[in-house]
Formats: sequence, structure tokens, C-alpha cells
Amino acid sequence: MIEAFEILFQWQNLALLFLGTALGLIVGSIPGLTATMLIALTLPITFHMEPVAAITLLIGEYVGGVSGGLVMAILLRMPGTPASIVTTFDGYPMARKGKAERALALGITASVVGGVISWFFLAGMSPSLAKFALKFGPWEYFALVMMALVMLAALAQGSLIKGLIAGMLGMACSLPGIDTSIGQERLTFGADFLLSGFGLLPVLIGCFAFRQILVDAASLDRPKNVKVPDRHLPLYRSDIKKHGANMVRSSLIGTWIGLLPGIGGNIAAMVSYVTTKQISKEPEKFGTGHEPGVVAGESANNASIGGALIPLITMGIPGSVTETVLIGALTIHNLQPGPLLFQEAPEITYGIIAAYLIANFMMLALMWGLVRHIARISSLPNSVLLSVVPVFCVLGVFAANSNYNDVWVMIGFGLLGLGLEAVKAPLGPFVIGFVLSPIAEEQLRAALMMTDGDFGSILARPWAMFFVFLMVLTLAWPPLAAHFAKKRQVNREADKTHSDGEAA
Amino acid sequence: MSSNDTRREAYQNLAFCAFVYAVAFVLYFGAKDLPPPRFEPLGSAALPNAIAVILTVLASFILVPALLTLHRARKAEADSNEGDGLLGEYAVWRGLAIFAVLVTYVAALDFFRSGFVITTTIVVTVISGIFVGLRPKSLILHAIGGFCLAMILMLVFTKILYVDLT
Repeated sequence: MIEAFEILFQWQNLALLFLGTALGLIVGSIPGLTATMLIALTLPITFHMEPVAAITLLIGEYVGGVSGGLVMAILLRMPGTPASIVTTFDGYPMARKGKAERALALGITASVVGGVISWFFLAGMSPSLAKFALKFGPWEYFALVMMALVMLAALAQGSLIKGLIAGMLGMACSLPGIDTSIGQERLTFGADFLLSGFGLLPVLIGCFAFRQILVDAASLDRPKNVKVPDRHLPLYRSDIKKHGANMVRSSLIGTWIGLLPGIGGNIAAMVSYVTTKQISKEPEKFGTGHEPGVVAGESANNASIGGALIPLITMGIPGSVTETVLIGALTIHNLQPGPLLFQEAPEITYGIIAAYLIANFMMLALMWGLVRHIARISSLPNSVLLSVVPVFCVLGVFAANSNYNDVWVMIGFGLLGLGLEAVKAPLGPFVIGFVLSPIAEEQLRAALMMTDGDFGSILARPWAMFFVFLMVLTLAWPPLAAHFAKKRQVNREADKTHSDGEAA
Repeated sequence: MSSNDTRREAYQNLAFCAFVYAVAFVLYFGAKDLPPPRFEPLGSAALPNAIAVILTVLASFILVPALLTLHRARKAEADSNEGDGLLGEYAVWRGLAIFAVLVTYVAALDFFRSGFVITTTIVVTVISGIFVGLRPKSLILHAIGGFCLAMILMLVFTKILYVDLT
């Protein structure tokens, strides 16, 4: 590990890491552009680089790209990735109240803490954690995905029923296309453009960015002017006590869930957010600009990157499209990702681990220097913001597949998002249902194929049953909590009447 | 909450239920022609049917209270908010106008293959004009800004990202 740091601290590699992180931050900040796109485009450039240099650049882009998503999520309610959705719940209301720099500062700090904590697991416990991840089979994945969806639906702002309906509608929207298990066309109704289904990027940008553009255009509210502090960013020593436990807990959740290939990054932030809300003494404040909400989401979000790198470097299993591209980078340098990579090319594996840590600190330094100026974006006049941002949205969605059908889909989902918000159905569960539905269906089918269609076999899987228990508890908790609160209120009133009577 | 607000919310919930039932119907209709499962126990139709059933059941939990609310609601005097109403209507029209501009922008690029730079410049100018009004100096500044933005984006996307915008 020490040799890896020595190699990384050569000026060329440090410069590449800095460049990658900066590019990732810029790209991640722009609605419609993603870290995956940037990494895929940079890949050919790395052909002629040394493997360590290439991986260093790409890891910097990965960390920067994920972290950059918080900027637009907070300032304009436009998340760059599904994992940034929860940051919009509290980050955007904070920005509307004129606390954009505070939200950004907290988000950045939480991101770095999440990254550093997950680094310790990545550096120290990769092989044993990877073995734990291998114990998860299809039933565990299915139960975890359904638990995450139900938790988010139940604990998002608004009614439980509408949250569940929103989640189900999101799942329904993911169905059109080719059923990948058997190659059957499903719900396409003869339309060719539906053969590939609705893309994630058009849905995400449509539901959040495009919808927000229309809402802001029709709104009379003006965002409050950002108060840029003279010297210090709004972070105080008291924040350690106030948010420290939340950061650590959320980072642990993010690392452990990020460990699970395929789903970790998307739901880590969500599970962390709903957990923080559930154990909070002020759950009603979540969604209105409550600082712990921003901290929980961003800590888990970045921690999940470290978690996701564990199966990548120990077993060669990519957790997402981004990691698939990283595996491509290793392959083109004649490196086979997997358990033997530690023996055959330790400078690469430890290089990835070292680069991940330093990239987090570089991201902190870059964001720290720029956050005061970035925060001013939210107070630009609407004539500038609402004329420029739609162009980025259209371009970003178009650029993914060079297809204007995706742009029309974005517009359609923008209108759908407006309608859902008008009836107070939360958007978070809708998008997450869209993202998680294919995974849930695939895992359920795999589980049933393995067990010859026996649904009861889930009972023999302790982790799966644990997630099912949490799901049932989440559904039952709101009415139970209301019942206990009412009983406490009645008892208090009875005690008060009794004590008043005695006094008289 | 005023009586008008309660009734408006009830109507919104009814519209939402109608939409949910329509989606459930589409799912059921689309799934009924799918073949039965052959290689695995679930099949392609299982999830659409399951979601359709769950949506129908969940929507009923909103439909019934909404109908009861409307049944019980009494006519109340409307709040006299004519001033606010006018301002609110203007803002809604502004939102609709921007939506129309954006749809026209995408249609121009998709169906008429209009030049990206000129179309983007016009759109940025028009949208900013909706906000700032017909002030020539402001419009010219926004047009110049839009042109510069369009040129930069054209350069980045065509030369660096190899995305054809023409």
C-alpha cells in the first residue's frame, strides 16, 4: 500500500488525478451529462498511458462525477444520478431559503467523510467483505430491493398510499420493451421506439429537471439571495457533534449496501435517508430543508462508491455501468480483474485503493474553493437559468443515444412529474420504482427458477427474511406510531384532568 | 383548510385515481396477449398483472375518501383573491409559454432538422424575452449569450464528444 501511495504521489499521476476529479465534478454538475459518459469517452485516451496513470484518471472522474451531482441537486433540484435524488429532498429547500452555501458545505463534507470511511473498508477488509457479498443470492437481492422501495415510499413526504402508488407507477413505466429473460416484446403496442423501453436518463431528467423548469417558470417565488460568507464557509465545530454520528452511520450503511453489485449505489442513499428520518427526534422536518437529510444522503452516496469497488477489485464483478467501463480499462491494459489481480498486479489494485482516497480529498479541495461561487448559481435570474438549463437537458438526453425520441420521452415524463406533484404523490418513489423494478423482477425470476417456483423457499433465507421483516415494519409503523401517539395524548390529558381535579 | 381547498383536493384525487386505473387497464390489456411462462415459473405477464392489481387496490383507498369528501362538502363562499388570482394566472401562462417554446425547439431540431446554433439562439432569446419583456438591449444581450453558448456546445459535442447535432 505504501508503494502504491509513493507511485501515486509522482507529479504526473497526481496531476491526472486532479484533472480527472475536476472533469468529473464539472460533468457531474451538468444535468444530462454523467460520470459514466465521461469515463467512457476518456477510455480511448488512456490506451497509451501507463495502467496506473489510466486508472488514476478514471477513478478521479468517478469520484468527481458522483460528487458533482450534489451541486445541481441542491441548487436547482436536478439530480444527475438516481443516488442524488434524496439530496434534493432537503438540499433544494435549503437553497430556496437562502442557505445554499450551507447545504453545499454540508454535502461536500458528508461526501468526503463517506468516501474516507468506505476507504478503510476497501483498504482493510476487501476480501472478507467480498465473501459476505457472495452469500447474497436472488432472494436476498429481491427482498432488499423491495424493502428499499417500500421504505422510500412509506417515509417520503405525503401519504403512504400515494407513495406506494408512485412506486408502482414507476415500476409500470419500466415494463415496456423487451423482456430480457426470454426476449419477448412486452407492452410495446407495436411502437418501435418502445422496443428499448424508456431510458433512465430521459425519465430522471424529465421528472426532476424538466419538471422543475416548468414549475419555476410558472412560479412567482424568487429564490432568496445567497449570502456568501466573507472568509469562512458555514461549517462549525458544533457540526461534528450535530452531524458526526449521522455521517458515520450513513457511511457504514452506504459502504455495506454499495458492496452489493448492481443495486448498491442506487439505494444506499435512500436507505440511509429513511433510516435517519426514522430514528430522528424531528422526522416531520425531513423534506423541508433539514440538514441531517442532506448529510445522510451524501455520506451514503459517496461511501457506496468505495463499497462498490470492493467486488470490482476482489472478484471482477462490476456494480454498475460505470464499473463495467472501469473493467474495460483494466482489460485494455491486459489486466484481468478478479481475485488474482492482487497477486499479479498489486500496484494496480493498491493504486485503485490509494487513488480513491486521494480523489476524495482533491474533490474536497476543489469544491471548497469553488462552493462560494457555485452557490451563486441559485440566485441567477430566471431569464438566464430557465433559458440555459433546458438546452443542457435537451442536449444531454439527446447525446446519450443521438435519438430525439428520448427527448420527447423526457418531455412526457416532465408532464407526468408535474401531474404527480400536483396530486402530492412523491417523485422519489416513482423514479426509484422505475430503476429497481427490472432488478426486482430479474432476481425474483432467478430465485423461482432455482427453487422450481417455490415461493416458500424465501423462509429459509435469514437475510431475505430480515429485509422482509423491515419492509413489513416500515408499512405497519406509521399507523402504529399514530395509534401510540394518540394513546399517549389521551393518557396525558387524563393525567392533567386528574391533577387539576386534585388541585381543586 | 377551506371548503374550496378540500373540494379541489378531492377532485385532484379523483383525477389521480382515474389516471391510475387507466394505467392499470393498459397494463392488463397489454399483458393479456403475452405467452404463458415456458422456461421459468413467472413469465412476462406476471409483473404487469401484479402491478395492475396492486394499483387498482391502492387507488381504491384514495377514491373512496375522495368521493366521501365531495359528498359531505358544503358550498362555501369563495375567498376573494382576485388580485392574487390574476398574478397566479399570469405565472401559469408564462409556464405554458415556456413549455410551448421548448416543445417547438425540440420539434424544430427533430422534424425540421433546423440548425442547432440558430435554433438554440432563438430559443434562449425567446425564453429570456418572456421573463424580461421586449427590452431591445436585454434581448440583444441574451441573444449574444445564447449564440456563444450554442457555439461552445456545438464545438464540444461535435468535436470532442462526437455527437452529431446537425
